[in-house]
Amino acid sequence: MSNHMVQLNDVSKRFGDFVAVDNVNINIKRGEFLTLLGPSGCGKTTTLRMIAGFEQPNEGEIIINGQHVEGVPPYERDVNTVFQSYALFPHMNVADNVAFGLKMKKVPKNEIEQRVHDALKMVQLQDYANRKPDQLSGGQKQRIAIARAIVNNPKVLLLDEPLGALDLKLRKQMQLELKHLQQQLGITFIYVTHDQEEALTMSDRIAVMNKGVIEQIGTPDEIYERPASRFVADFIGETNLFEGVILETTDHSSYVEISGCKIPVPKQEDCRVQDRVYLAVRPERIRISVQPGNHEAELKGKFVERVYVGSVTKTIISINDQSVVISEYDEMVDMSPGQDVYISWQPEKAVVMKG
Amino acid sequence: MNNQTVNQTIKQPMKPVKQPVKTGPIWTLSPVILWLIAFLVIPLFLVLIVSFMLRGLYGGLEYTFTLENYVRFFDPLYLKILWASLVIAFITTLLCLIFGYPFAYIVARSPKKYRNILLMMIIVPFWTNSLVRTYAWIMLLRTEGVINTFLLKIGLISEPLTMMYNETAVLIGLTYTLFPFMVLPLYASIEKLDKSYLEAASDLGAKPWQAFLKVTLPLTTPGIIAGSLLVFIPTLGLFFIPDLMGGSKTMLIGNLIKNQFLTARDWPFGSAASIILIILTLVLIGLYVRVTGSKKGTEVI
Repeated sequence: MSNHMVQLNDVSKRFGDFVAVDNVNINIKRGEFLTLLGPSGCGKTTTLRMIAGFEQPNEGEIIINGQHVEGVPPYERDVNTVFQSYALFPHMNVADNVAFGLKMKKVPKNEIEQRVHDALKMVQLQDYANRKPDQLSGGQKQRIAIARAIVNNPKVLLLDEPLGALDLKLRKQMQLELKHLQQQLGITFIYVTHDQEEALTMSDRIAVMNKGVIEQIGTPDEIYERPASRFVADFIGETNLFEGVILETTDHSSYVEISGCKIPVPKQEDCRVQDRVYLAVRPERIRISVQPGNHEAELKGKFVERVYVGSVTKTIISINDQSVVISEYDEMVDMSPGQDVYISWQPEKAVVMKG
Repeated sequence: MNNQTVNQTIKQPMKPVKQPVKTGPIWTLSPVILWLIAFLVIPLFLVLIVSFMLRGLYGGLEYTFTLENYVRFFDPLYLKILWASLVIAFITTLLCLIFGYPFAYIVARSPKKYRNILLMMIIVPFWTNSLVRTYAWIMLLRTEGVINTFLLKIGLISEPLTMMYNETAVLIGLTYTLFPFMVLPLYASIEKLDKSYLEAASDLGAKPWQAFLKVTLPLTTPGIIAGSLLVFIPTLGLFFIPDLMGGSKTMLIGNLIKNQFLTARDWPFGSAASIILIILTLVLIGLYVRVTGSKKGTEVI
């Protein structure tokens, strides 16, 4: 048996002329928490719906637990979905909602009762069995939707922006609870969200999607620290992009020219001299000072303003009319608008991306 | 926040937030009340009064109080008519439901741009006088009608079929006339049905027919009941279709009332029959409200 629970091979989905999902390849391991992350309309939900069976791919193959599922209807797939709108049946109480899947599978009655009870206990709502969905709060509906899915012991649980409708505090709490639930149950989770922070918090791996294409798959750490494309660098967290050209590559590092300065970057094996590249540097990696500091990677700019955002202060400077954001935590040197300032970073913290 | 307090906050039952309902001064209702008095209360009251009077010698009214009209209605002859009316109305409702549900379902699930066209196809014939449309059916069904002529011509039958002036003809006419009253509420409730419920059912292992029985049907029950009431109640009172298509053989409660007023000129008995019909209707609606719980019932009415 392969150690992949879900495999998408060259999967494409078109709606008329619109290519929603374009040649996507993902291998999802058993027990993995994989997040499909991207802006709305990037194809992440369509990908999820193809795994669930609500949409059929135009091309490619989908393999769940070693079995091809192209053409297999949702009700014959060993996956369950937590819907964005929860989709709890309004005419059934909580217990009947949770029992629905088991009844369809003709599980014996006393076993259904036991499993429904256990599932409700798992989401801490065992006292709500007789409530109707419209007597529940958003967070409670969310939990019931999860209970209704996991009670069936699915091979894969699909979650379509399940926390989208909750307020920030509840969302943060549910993120951790979901993560713990997933670790406890060992079920493979495929989670769709447009919230990069949510993705970074919960996932084992993240697949960043844009315009139907997977831009990068990797651990949260890889995605954040070593984005593979401009889109990923821009979409995940905040980043500063500098445009430049490769000047030379030595044994240890490469050098990029940015606004007339020669900046060292990690060695680029596959870049040639004069290649146009983008340099991505996270705001928290940049230091700022009023004097030149003889750093290897240093640029000169003009101070614009400081914005206080709570845990950090964002300092904005401009270099040749391009704004650069720097996060500052410690005591800050007073600066006045238009004053010359110098920013620097450790060369290995910068990420180079082609065009 | 530690886990214990988290659980505590979630377990607390929700407090229903009661918004005080703002009501304006009562006189703002006066146009409605005037309208109701003029067009509902006064006519109904007149009918009620007349139903307790005696028929005059030449079809006039004799102003004496009597219960005779009501007693007369419980004659087996009239009870049979009432029973026949209920049976016909029930079958009509059933036929409308059987044909109407799939139709409403298909319309509600078709692409948006076709929905209005399909609904118009149901509604447009409504703009023609229903009497005219009933005559059209007669042209189709009668012995020398379109259908018989056609079937004879292609040799499928050697003698014309009898399709007019029997109960089948009445049922065809009634079902045709009342079909839109069934389709429109059904369409509204099916169209409103969130598709994600069906996806959830399918996701949880329900085959399409199971999803229909367990999810679609229960969630569209208000539409089914509204449509059934809208068909059943007018069917009891529709007199011209049994008159025209059933010949003299099919006498329904509507015909009885019409005959009392126009042919027999017995206004008091006609009024009594009307009052009985109204009470019957109210009882049916009341039963429905009781069965489904008051909230849904009032929604339907």
